[in-house]
Amino acid sequence: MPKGYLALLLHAHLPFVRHPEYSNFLEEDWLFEAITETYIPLLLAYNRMRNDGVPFKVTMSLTPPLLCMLGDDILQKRYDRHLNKLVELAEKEVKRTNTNGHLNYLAQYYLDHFNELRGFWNGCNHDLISEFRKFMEIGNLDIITCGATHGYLPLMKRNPKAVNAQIKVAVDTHEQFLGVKPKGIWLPECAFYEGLDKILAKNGLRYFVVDTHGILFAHPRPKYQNYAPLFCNGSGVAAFGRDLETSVQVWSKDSGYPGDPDYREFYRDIGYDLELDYIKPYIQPNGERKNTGIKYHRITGKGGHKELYDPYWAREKAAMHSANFMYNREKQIEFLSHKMDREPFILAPYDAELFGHWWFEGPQWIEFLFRKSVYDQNTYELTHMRDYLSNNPVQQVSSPAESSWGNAGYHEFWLSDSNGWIYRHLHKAADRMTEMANKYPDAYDLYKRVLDQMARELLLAQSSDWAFIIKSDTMVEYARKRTVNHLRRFTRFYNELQSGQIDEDWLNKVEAVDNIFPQIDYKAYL
Amino acid sequence: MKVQDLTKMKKSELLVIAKKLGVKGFSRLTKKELVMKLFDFVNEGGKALQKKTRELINKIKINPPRKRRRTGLIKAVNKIKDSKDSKKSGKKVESSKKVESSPKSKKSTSTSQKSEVGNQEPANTIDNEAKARTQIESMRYMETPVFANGNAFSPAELREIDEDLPDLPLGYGDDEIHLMSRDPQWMFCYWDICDETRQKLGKSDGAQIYMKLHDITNIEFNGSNSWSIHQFILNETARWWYIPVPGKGKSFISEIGYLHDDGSWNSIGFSNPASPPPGKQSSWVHDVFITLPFDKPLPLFAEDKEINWLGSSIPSREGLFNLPKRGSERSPAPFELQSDRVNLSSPGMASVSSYISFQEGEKVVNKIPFMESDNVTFKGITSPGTEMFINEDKITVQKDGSFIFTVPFGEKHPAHKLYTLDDNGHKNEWTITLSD
Repeated sequence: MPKGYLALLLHAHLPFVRHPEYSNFLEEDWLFEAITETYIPLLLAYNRMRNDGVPFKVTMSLTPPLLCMLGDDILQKRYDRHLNKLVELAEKEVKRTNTNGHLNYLAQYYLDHFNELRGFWNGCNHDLISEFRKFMEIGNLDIITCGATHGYLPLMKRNPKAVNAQIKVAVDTHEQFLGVKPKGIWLPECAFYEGLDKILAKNGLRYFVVDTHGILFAHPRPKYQNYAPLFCNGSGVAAFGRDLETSVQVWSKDSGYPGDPDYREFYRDIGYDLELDYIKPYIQPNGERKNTGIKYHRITGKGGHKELYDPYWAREKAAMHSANFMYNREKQIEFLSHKMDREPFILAPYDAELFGHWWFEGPQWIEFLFRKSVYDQNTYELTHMRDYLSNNPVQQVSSPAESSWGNAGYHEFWLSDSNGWIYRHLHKAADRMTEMANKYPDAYDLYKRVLDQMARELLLAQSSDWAFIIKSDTMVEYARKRTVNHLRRFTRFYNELQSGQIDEDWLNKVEAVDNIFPQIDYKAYL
Repeated sequence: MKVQDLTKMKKSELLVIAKKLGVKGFSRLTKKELVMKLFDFVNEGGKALQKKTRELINKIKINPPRKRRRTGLIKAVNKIKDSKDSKKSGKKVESSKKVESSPKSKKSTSTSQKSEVGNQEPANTIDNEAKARTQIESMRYMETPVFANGNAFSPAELREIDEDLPDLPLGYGDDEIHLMSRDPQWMFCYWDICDETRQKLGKSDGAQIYMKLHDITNIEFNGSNSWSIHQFILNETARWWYIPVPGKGKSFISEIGYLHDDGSWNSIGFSNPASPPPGKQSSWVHDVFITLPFDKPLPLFAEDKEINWLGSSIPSREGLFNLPKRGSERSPAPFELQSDRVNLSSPGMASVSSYISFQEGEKVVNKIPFMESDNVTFKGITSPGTEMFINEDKITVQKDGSFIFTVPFGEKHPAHKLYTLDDNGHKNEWTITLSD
């Protein structure tokens, strides 16, 4: 009998970025980098563990925009092109570096690595979703959903129908891609408000995650703090709290593992380091440099001087860090189990893209952690939230508090001087959407297509990613444009419905560009 | 403008003009009807409209509207080329229109740009094989068409979808006031008040625009019965404001209006209510555990109905603590306690061993964790004008209804009696006791 439980949750999300209207689009690299550095490496690690019979358990939220992008034909083709170029570049690098032993070893390492990725990519016929699904079906992986476009729900609550659509479209999309309805949800930015749980319950969801203080500040006061879930008062949906201690060790810039000198340095990429003439075919078509994914240096230290990377050292370090993480969990759970009259439950959620993309060795760390947790200790057991709830159906009733995992624990990052202006437009559009859905509750053919496309435009405009990017002051122009253009397209459709003059030609084009949620039904707004 | 100007044009071109001018109900008309309708519309619309129409006509002569979409790769390729060429030459040449009808000119567009722009190269005999070969050859240099729902689009035409769309408006002028919580310390309010309303209610008289923040905690708000009002002076040009949250665990409504020199208040409207997050641990301790098997669906429930589920139920908060709202038909909540005590104990622990409970008769209405051994200070707020007594001693109630009192607790002082007398002489009584 274990003394407690550990559930690792990886939140895999990227905003919907797909630009068929351009043959090259820099922001599409977000997806390509995540596939190369995070999604396939994780799947490779899962495969190795399955082949070795390791009964690991991990929860992942695959958000609806990510599912739609991974399943999209154009993006798959473009990723294929991207990956082939990456292999080509690595081949060139092996030749270029043949006079430097260390560099040549690294170039060969990348070539092997990319070839392995390409083997996997082609082996699964470019269908990563099915690969994740396999692990879901054998129980290693619990896949949960998220807001349809990662909309920031507390700032949307003015129109509950708009919140409902974010949830309903997410649940439907999840089912379309994964074959089952999700039972759990990772709330976008972990942002919760009182009453949201009822909308989740209505859509068949049974559990969600809030930040630590969402549970600590619940009322009545939670008996077990955030080491046990709460059943929300009035709905019965279970709320799990994020554990702070586990989070700091991984996330923290200074004291966290990813900052170790032996790990790969993210910011030294040959896309910036090498001569322009040589690297030109692998950076932006206009000659502007960008990350290629080939990086030869390790973090080394705080200064500008960087030593060459050593994959062997880094791997040893990842193993050490996973042992340290495990040891700390054992101590934490032992301490808590003395204080509680039931087994503590520790939930450790992270952005999936942290592992691999930012922290190159992250997927290795996860694999080591799972293998060690299964074989090297008896204090805790790996679990899923759903398994825990199946085995522990008795929980305290309380109402979690409004909160998010953003800066300072609330909504300030998404509601600030730089991005506060978007809400009056988003709110207006949500009202117009429900107005039109109610006006045409049984639309078909052209009207249905317009209403469905309006729903897509509204949902896309609501992505919390745009507000986040605007606030964080990088790529602001792109994010601003995305918000504004989706709203402008939405408004034109709204005006067309009002005047009864629908431009089918234009509708065709917008459908071709914003093709997220192929099977959306605007009735989610009724 | 003459009728002939219009009759010379194609129907498709007329439709574009009608649409751009905002003529209503044009889509089902015949060409003749359309010409007349447009002609009347323009002539009635005055000189500005006539000028605009002439401009549109000229523009259309230069850029004839595209035909409805076509399917098929070759056609899409032609289109790609069309739009590319039109970009290069700055304007669209007449020949591209013919492309769609005559195979001869199709060749000229798809083979070389030169022949297309000038359209002067002597026509050669048609060589179908060469034509196909050139077409395929040229595809290498073109952007891949995008296929969607059985249509093929050139990337260039997809890039144009936002071109004619107007910018987002600054606001919608619907006199809406919306209040949002940002965090426990701050709220964010935006409003959209049209100038007409502003002029009518005070701007024209030089009155000052204000925001009033009403504390409506536990109140059925009727516009004037709030616990307290905080006033903020606004700029006439401001359209949103950050508002500091006065006190934790409360609910608010904001009101915007004009304050006139004579002290009169013209209200523009009220916002929705907002309750900022508590930002601290709850003082309410009440451990209720229920069983909800995961393999059974959740019971769906009415808003305020208790759930009965396998013998256990989810109690509603109102069911646990009967705190009627002030202003509601039930007897009012005469006061409200403000506890600042934050206690982060370890989970499920014994550090909170006893509580101070407020009882109305037999019923416990509030429970506060008790951690100090001697004197306990209570702060709170009540309706202005209410009198409060603790153990028959009168408590000083400030003008705004706030009060503070201290009583000892311990073995010698296990319980205290508290009662309030409101304006109407209505009396409410509680006992405050120490309990486990």
